[in-house]
Order: sequence, then C-alpha cells, then structure tokens
Amino acid sequence: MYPPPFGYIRVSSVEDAINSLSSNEDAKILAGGQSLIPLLKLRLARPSYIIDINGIKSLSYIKIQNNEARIGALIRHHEIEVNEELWKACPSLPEAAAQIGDPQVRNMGTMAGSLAHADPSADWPIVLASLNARAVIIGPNGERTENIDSLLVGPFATTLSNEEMIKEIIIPLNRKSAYVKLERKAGDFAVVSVAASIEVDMDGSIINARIFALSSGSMLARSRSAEETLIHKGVNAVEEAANNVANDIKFVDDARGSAVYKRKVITVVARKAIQRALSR
Amino acid sequence: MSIRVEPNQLVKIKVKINGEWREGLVEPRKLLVHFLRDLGFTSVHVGCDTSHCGACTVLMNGVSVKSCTVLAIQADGSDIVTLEGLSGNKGLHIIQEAFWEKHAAQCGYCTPGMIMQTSFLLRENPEPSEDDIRRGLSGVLCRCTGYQNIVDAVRLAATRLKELKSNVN
Repeated sequence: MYPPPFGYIRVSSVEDAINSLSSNEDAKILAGGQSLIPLLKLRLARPSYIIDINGIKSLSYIKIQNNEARIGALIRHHEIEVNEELWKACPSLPEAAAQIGDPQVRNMGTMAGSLAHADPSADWPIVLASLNARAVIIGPNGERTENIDSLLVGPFATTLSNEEMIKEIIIPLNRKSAYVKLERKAGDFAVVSVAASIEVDMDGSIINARIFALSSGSMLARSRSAEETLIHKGVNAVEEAANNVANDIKFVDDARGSAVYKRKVITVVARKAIQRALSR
Repeated sequence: MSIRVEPNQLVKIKVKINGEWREGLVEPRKLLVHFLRDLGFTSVHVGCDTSHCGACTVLMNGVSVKSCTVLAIQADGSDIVTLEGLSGNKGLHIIQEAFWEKHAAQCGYCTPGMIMQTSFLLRENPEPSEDDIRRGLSGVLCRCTGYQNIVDAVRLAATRLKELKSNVN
C-alpha cells in the first residue's frame, strides 16, 4: 500500500530537528526508517511531517574512550556488526547487531531509532538494558540522560516527549556480555532471547550481573533471581541461574511457539548467554 | 541542505541511477521502488510490499537496501545501482553469468534482488562460506528453487571474481 500523505522536512542540524518537532504536531523523526516506513505502508502511522535527520553528519560516530562506548543516532546496525573494536570491548553489541532483521535492514536501521520505536520484540532494548546503557536525549530545553530501563516504559512507549530525540547511546564497558537469540528462521524476531552482562572482580568473582530476556510482548523482562544466584553462588551456579530465568519471565503462546516450549527452551538460551559472557 | 515539502506537494529530486543523473517529481510519500520503476528500471520488483521479500533490493551509496523501505525523496542526491546498471553496459556481469550457468533462477522474480544482494555480500566478504552466503542472502526470499542453486551460483561468482582480481593484479 502507498503510505498516507505526509509532509517532509530535511534538516541538517540537531537544533533544526528539534525546532521542526516543536513546531509541527505529530511529526516523526526518520532515521533508518526500517520500522517507520513499514508502519506507514500499513497505515498504522500517520505523521503530519517526516523529519529526515539523515543529513546530520555529526550523528554518525562510534567513539570508544574512558571505558565507555558512545554510539551516535545515525550509526547503522551493520556498522556495529563489523566494528572490531566493539567486538573486543563489548561483544554483545555487535553480536546482537548481526542478528537483527536481515542484511538490507541492517544497512539502514539504527540503534537510536529502534529504542525510540520501543518494539518489545526488538533486540536492542534488552541488550542495552543488560549493559546498563543510557541514552542522551535532546529537546527544546537542552540535553538529558536517561537509563534505557527507565526510558522504555512499555511496548511502543517511551518517556520521549514529542519534541525530543535521541542523540546518542552511552554504553559502559566494564562488563562481560553476550546475547543469545533463538529464531525460527534467519531475520525473524526471537522466539526467546537472553542478554547477559556480568561484572567480575580481579579474583574472578561475580560482583554484578544483569540478565534480561525477550519473550513475546513484555518490555524489558529482567530476571533478578538469576542475577542474585550468580552474585551469591558464583560461576558454578550458571545452571541454577538459567533455570531462574525461566521462573521469572512470563510466557505466552504465539505464532513463534507455545508458552510451555519457550519456558523450557529459555533455560538453554540463558545458560549459553551466561556461559558465553563469562568466557569472554 | 534543508528543505520542507508539504503533504501532496510535488518536489523535484535528482538521483544518480546507474551512473546517470535522473530527475523526477515526487510526493514525499513516494517510495524509491516506485520512482525507479516509473523511470523504466523494472528489474526492481515489488514482491511483498511489507518489507520482507527483498525483490526490490538495490545499492544506495554502495550498500544494499530494500527500495520499498526507502522514500524516493530520501534518495535525493544519492547514487543508486539497479540490476540494469550492475555490469555497466558490458553484457552480463560475472554474478549474472554465474546465476545463469548454475540455473539459479526458476521463475526469476526474486533474481534481481538476489543478484544485487550478492554483489553487496561479495564486496564485503569475497570468500564467503556456505553459511555466510545463506545468511548474507537471508533478506531476499525465493519461493521456487530451494536456494541450493543460488548458493552454488554465489560460490561460483565468488571464485570468478577472485580470479579476475588476481589477473588484474
């Protein structure tokens, strides 16, 4: 289907983007467009104006310094997937990037766009929440920073106002991490997936863990009991922690599998994610 | 450069297609795939209209994209390559020859997308494994061949492109 009619504003600076958002009600930012354009074609979105930010060259960067990675709003999934520095510094990022959609989608789609869209089936939300990442958000009153787990309040819902946009995502690099996704076929959304990030001290003991799981519908499901098991019982309790993930997460039957199947299979996915993170 | 276009307003865009600058009038909502087809680049197929099938895959500024999931106005000023321009008017491209020899087209509907995605894949990864090929083409769906002949064709194209490169060097 043709998208519904909308206006188009191409901006060349973040300030212009914010001004355009502020002066046009129901305007939408276009970054990679890999969620927005399909929604337009299904006529599930009817923005007044599309504000194309792809001309803002200053938003395309991956900076790794001071034990943090900063990813600009126009970095495409594919650029994360092939970034060798990130594979060393924070492997769950390129590992997740490589499993999003298909290659053409990854050539266009952006991390910031995925967060702003807040699809509960998307890969980035749980990966970034597990890494304790935060988003730098710009609006008419300047910048603010918000952790991913408070930015995303529910399916397709964020704390972003209509006049704000995500400028960059900051990821702390003090953790071991992995992302394991079970798909029915390449390019599909996950049946279930688990993002694990673990902080280990000099002696190899686990001092912090953040375990998030994705299973149809719920936004940012976190397994606190798996985290506590790892912190209190250490590296020999991976099996128990993985079983805890199955107990903490709600599962529903859908086209990608039954709740019973997902509950069983997530223990395997969680074990792999935790083990892989620890091995890094 | 900043521009503002009202809903339903037509605006002139300029796109370099297969090495030649072309102009056209578009509404903001016009998709790149329809812009290209209207200009006669009918290798660019609409297979699904839901951004899944990849039959509309073209190269935009050197990377493969689904032209049904890009607005034509977004492509203003960009460099597009469609299947028509892949060989640069020199007969069949090596990838096209390999698809022909390996009988990788059955109904042929997905083939332009397969070949454009293959050209992106082989530039990024000149020596792909079978797994790399299958993953690299996962964004183009074929409903006829079962993919085996397509994988064989990509492998043959990779070998020939490598030979060509070593002969040039």
